[in-house]
Amino acid sequence: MKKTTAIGLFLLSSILAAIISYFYVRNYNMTHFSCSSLNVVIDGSKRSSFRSDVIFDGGKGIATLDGIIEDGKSLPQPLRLIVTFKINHNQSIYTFTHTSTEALSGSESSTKQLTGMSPRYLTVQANELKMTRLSQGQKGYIFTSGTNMMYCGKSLSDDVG
Amino acid sequence: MTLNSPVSHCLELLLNEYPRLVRHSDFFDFVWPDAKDVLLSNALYQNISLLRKGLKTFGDSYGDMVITVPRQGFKLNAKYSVEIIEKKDTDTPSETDNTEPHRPPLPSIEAEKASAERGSGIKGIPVVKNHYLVFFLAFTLCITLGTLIGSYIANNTTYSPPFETEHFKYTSTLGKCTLYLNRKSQWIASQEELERYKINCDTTPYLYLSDYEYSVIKNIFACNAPLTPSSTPACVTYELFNGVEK
Repeated sequence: MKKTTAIGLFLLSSILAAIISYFYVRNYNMTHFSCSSLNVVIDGSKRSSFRSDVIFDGGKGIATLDGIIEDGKSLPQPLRLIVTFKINHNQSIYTFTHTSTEALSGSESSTKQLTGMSPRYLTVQANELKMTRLSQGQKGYIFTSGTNMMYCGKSLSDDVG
Repeated sequence: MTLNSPVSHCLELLLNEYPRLVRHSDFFDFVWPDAKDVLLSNALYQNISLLRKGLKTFGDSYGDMVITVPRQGFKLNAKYSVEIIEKKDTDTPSETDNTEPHRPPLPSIEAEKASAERGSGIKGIPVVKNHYLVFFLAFTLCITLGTLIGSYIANNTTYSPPFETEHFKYTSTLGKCTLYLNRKSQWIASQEELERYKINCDTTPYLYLSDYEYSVIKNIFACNAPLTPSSTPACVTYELFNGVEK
């Protein structure tokens, strides 16, 4: 093989590898991120809160909702829900569609209460939520639906507790 | 024409140097690099003799193809031309062979072809293997380099519209927290409110507050660093419902 042919082949393979990896990493960053949010409902003396850790893993999402309901009278009731949903995205518009909810702990009534507080795409079968993704710096996204906002990190482990 | 290995290497060297003189020492270096110190010059003359015999199998006229330069070495007769011929062409004689009897090209030049494949390598087969290794390593390096560059560019590019941090304006500090309020918002946050929501100003001192005209939801981004286009803070989102069930 001639030297010029070899150099051309090397250059071509480098450029090809760069293009493929660029689109692979780009697509990965657009579909793999995590969001942590703390939802608080205060109604008189009754305070309900739950933390949702949502992992967007390609075309599917898994949300772990850890909640605690305090009404100031009885003991706080911890509960946990695992929610799965599908993710479709077209450019910056994301559609989240609920697929299943599994209660791991907590009574039926507290689970119902937590479900009532959660964003509907996380808890209502086949319910959809559309959100627009905006870039915040190199490692963050902000999802907004017009009446709600959610901060997410590109890394699946970004968390400030 | 069938030649043994040393004879074919002698021919290869003569072809490489054609039409220059090849000295005795060059033959020993090229053909017998590992045994040049123990070989007698008689061995070289024997191999040249075998080469001449081999060439004569194409006709007696080829007997003068290798010329002896006394006490110096050997060279190919300049009256013959040397051409590199593809192997498939050497199987069947070309028309040139028949039409130019005065300056016939050399018949099969396997040695020349092998030499061309090896570049300037003297050691033969090991050099060929090294070329494959170098090619493989260079190819792997190029792929790796391309992958790293592509990944780097992808990781440092934003693919969606930027979040306009100017939408928030600085309002005040509450304890250890610094508050920024959405410009469309009328929210007046109090220390008591932050405490009710159990926001930790030690770990997330930068709070970005938003409320919405037609929604009972309020949002707070609690971040460990300010939200700027170049910053990379870690934030947790607070979704607050005050007094009204969803």
